[in-house]
Amino acid sequence: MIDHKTIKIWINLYLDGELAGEELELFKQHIKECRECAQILKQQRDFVDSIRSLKDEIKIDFGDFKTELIKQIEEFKPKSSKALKYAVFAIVVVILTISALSALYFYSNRTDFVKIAIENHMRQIRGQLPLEIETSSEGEISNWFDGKLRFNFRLPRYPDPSNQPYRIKGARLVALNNDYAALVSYEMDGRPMTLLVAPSKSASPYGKRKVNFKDIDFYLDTKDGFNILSWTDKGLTYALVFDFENFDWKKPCIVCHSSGAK
Amino acid sequence: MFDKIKKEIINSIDSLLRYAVVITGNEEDAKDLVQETCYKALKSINSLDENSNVKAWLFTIMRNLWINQRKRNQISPVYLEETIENVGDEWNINPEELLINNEMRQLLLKALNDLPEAYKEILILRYFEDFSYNEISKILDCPLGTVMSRLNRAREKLKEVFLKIYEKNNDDRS
Repeated sequence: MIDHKTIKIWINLYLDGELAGEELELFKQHIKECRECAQILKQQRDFVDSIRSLKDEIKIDFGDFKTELIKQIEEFKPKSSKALKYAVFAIVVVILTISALSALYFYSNRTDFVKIAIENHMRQIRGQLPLEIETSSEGEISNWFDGKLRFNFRLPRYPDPSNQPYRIKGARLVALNNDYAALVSYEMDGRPMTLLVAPSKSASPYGKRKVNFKDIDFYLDTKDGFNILSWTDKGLTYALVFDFENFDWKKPCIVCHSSGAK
Repeated sequence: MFDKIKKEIINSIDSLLRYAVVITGNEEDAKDLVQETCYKALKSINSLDENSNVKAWLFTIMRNLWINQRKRNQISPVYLEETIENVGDEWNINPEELLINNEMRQLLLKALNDLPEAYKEILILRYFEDFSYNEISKILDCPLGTVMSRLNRAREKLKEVFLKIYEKNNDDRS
């Protein structure tokens, strides 16, 4: 049995629509059975309804103000939020920074390899970079590099190298990006020529002219009086530096392709 | 969604004005407050989703704006925990008469206007705007229990103030 004190508290909750579940059922049951509480409920309901009725008594003329305010609301155009603006700005800055760094890295990577190839060539012809193996045999050079490099590099072998217009002088290791690259020294028409070989992940070909030959892009450039031919093939990047007077870009290809036929 | 919320803001203007008049106590401040509320709401419309209770959100914005304005103007807060004479049991007014008697209703309105602001405010939110206890607790930023007890005290205080006005009115006549 619910006491009257609880019912009086529940009356307001009931009238405000906040009584639910078992309490609501108990309340309804009690009101049915208790005339005193039913009377209090009626009085309180009338009182609450009289408060509600005051809503219509507050009559203030906001006519012009309301019309103007509605107009302002209707004409209001949403601006993108500051947070969205900052987010877009931040994304643009990040993209630009990444692009710039990538471009810088890519460009420097490409030019560095070509530059290093020229430097090595110059030091080699000045005698500052002695060969570590001196032989004209492609096989011996390939065997000498075996185990010294982190990549697999072998010179092509031809049946009769003595018939070729070039001569292999020897080879050595050179430093490149905290690792070793392979340098092979040649002589052609009495002029020195060096081939620098490195993995393509740490070296890229570069040159102002690009020629596609048998699905390989060859880059040609001239720097400090030297001609540079560079390309990437099967995971390795090659840079051939030479100073032939009558430059024919196909001519150095003989070192790998035997008389330029293959 | 933006247009839908704009429409809801427009539909709430009357309620906002009524509430603003009650909390500010004058028409001009009420207009300024409602205008500022609508502008702030429109600017932060992106923080709403489709299921948001726009009307309760507007009331919350308006109340917070008013609180900040009061702080700026260094208006001291109203203390509510005053003693209320429990008139419930000795309420000898026939509430039915309150409903039908226009003169008595005007006295009740006067009593409502004479109530401390916090009581007036909670009665308006509940009985003029039909907000639930839960919505009121969010608008007023107070626990549900405080809503229930404050609403109870507000009703009792209204009866008390009304009774005094009514009796004085009768005395003046006689």
